[in-house]
Amino acid sequence: MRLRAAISFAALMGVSGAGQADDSRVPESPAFEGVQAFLQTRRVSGALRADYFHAAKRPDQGSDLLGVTAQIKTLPELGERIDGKLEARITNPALNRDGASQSRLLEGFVTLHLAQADLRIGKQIVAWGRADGINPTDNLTPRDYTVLLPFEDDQRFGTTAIKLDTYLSPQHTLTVFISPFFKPAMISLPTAGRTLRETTPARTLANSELGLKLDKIGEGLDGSISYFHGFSLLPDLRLLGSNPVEPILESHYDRINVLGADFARNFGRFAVRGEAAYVDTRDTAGDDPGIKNPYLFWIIGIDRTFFEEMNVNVQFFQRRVRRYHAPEGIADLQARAVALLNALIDGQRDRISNGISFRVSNKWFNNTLEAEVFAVLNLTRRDRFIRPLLTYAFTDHWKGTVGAEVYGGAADTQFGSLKPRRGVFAELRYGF
Amino acid sequence: MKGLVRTAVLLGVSTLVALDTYSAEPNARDIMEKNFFVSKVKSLKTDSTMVLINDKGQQRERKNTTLLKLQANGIDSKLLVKFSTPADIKGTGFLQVEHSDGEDDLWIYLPALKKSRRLVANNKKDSFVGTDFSYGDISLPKVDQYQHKRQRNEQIDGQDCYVIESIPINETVKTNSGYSKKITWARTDNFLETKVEYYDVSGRLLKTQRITQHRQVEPQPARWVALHREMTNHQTGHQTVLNFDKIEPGVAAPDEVFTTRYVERE
Repeated sequence: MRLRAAISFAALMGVSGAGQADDSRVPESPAFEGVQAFLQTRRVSGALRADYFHAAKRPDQGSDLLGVTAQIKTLPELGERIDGKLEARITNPALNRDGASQSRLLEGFVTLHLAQADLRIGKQIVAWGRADGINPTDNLTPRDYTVLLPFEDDQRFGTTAIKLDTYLSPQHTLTVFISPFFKPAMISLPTAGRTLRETTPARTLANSELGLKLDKIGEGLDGSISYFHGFSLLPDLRLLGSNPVEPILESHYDRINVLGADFARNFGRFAVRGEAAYVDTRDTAGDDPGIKNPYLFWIIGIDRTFFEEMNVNVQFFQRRVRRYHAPEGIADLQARAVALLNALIDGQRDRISNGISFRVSNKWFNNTLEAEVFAVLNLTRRDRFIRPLLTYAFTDHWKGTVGAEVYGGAADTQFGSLKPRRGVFAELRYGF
Repeated sequence: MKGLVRTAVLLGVSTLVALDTYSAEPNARDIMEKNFFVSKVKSLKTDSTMVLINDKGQQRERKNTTLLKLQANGIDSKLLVKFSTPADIKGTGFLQVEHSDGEDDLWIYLPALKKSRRLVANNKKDSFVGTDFSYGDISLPKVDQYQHKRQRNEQIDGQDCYVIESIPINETVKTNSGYSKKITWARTDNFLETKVEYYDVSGRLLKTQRITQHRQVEPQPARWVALHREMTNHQTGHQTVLNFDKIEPGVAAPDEVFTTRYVERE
């Protein structure tokens, strides 16, 4: 099966033979150029993507998956002060496994631009935090951790919300975010031998989410302070009981209050970025294994470019869990297993857990070849994640990417528990 | 005898005139200062195309719109660049706020990240979006970061030019810019450069920039823009051709435009 998938992917790569020959120097057909020009004037762009993943991100998907994705984005201008964005993705992540096609509106909003404010209404992605890749304050909009696409940002999708950015001065912005429709992250929970019921917060006004941020840029220092009153994007599990065959778990999302701050500042050739969030949960006493404990999560790092294009970023992060109780201290075996799962999902395996992340990237041949290695090592339990990525731009339209996700560590650690996801992946992409 | 005296007097006067003329000519630093200021336009909007050509002749193309505004001190500029093609960098934005008394503020907006990211301003030698222009080539360095020496005058494309050799004043400037030496051919009439040679840190010729189609965009003081620039990297054989397809001097963009608010607009 793996061979068949590889051959199928190679056949798709054959399509790129035309792509490799394709170049701005090679004249496109007038019809093709006409379509391109039409799309450009209509502010439409997108990508067609063929992907191979050796390992699935959901246990029901099998392995050696060959998928196709069409993604389209349009940025309509609706008036002098009003514009919008629609971005959607249709994907079949497992063509060779009779996988079903899935479609998703990633973003769909209108923005009203006022003299000193921008008001955005609709489904939107809001990304907070100045650290690199690990953002304690990024709690507003979800990610799909099961998506079979190679880039970190492919995981993001929007939440229906109202966002008002008020520009107090050219340097200062006050952001108000209100979402009445909580949308959780999508993760794969181990359901084998368990019955899982998911409950999400009712869509009531009382369950609205609120985010506030005061942001400052310029004069050598960028930074922000923020507050978020909403729901945890990641679920907690609670043991409801057992039926005659297996335990019954409830996956639920609890209220959190987050106080956050971040900054970015340059010191000579070094950029220093930091970010911190204190997350208050409903389990203030820390005695409910079905709700995550309050915690402080902070990260600080530096990056520097060496030679012309080699960028190295190193970050240290720490989580400090308040009123921590080790899952091992729970006598009931089923309850202990659930508490351990929660600890893995929430990164609360230890009272204090330290880690480092490392990202090194380089570009060659005027950015046609790009390589990147991103790695995270949890120092406390020595579990780790490494993702090498290599991208080559055959032309302005055609790009190929190969990479791998490598998880290591004991099975009862955050990354060690994801070992079944280890594998290589590849993508061929046509952008327009 | 009378003729001899007259000849001697004439020779003496000619020598004095010649000496006076030479001393009236600007020195190297003055020329480079004028070169620095001659392109400091008050405000400008441009649509430009950058064609990247590799050593096999294959081409890639980047189109962008740029807004430029001179700050109140008449030295520093603000620059906003938004890319419209190709698809993979469409929406990418670049914002620079120069500070002559300190480090510039630089941000890049990548649509995939959904947020602006502060860049290190000292990385002047980094390639500007994969072109043969570095960040330091896009935004001219401060005049006193280099020691300038007049070499000779030379004609380029029929224009008289001063030829100025510029050496970084210290190792930091050399390391940050990636250049051990620059040689600039600056026109004697308007001080705009027509050719620049860049030498790498080991002293080898790295790049040559040819600048043509000079256009005066502001009358007093005279400010000029070159509509065509070609940067050739001799070590890789790669070339970038920058063409200004449309220029609109005097577009009054408010200061608010030069903020991350606008750079993040796709």
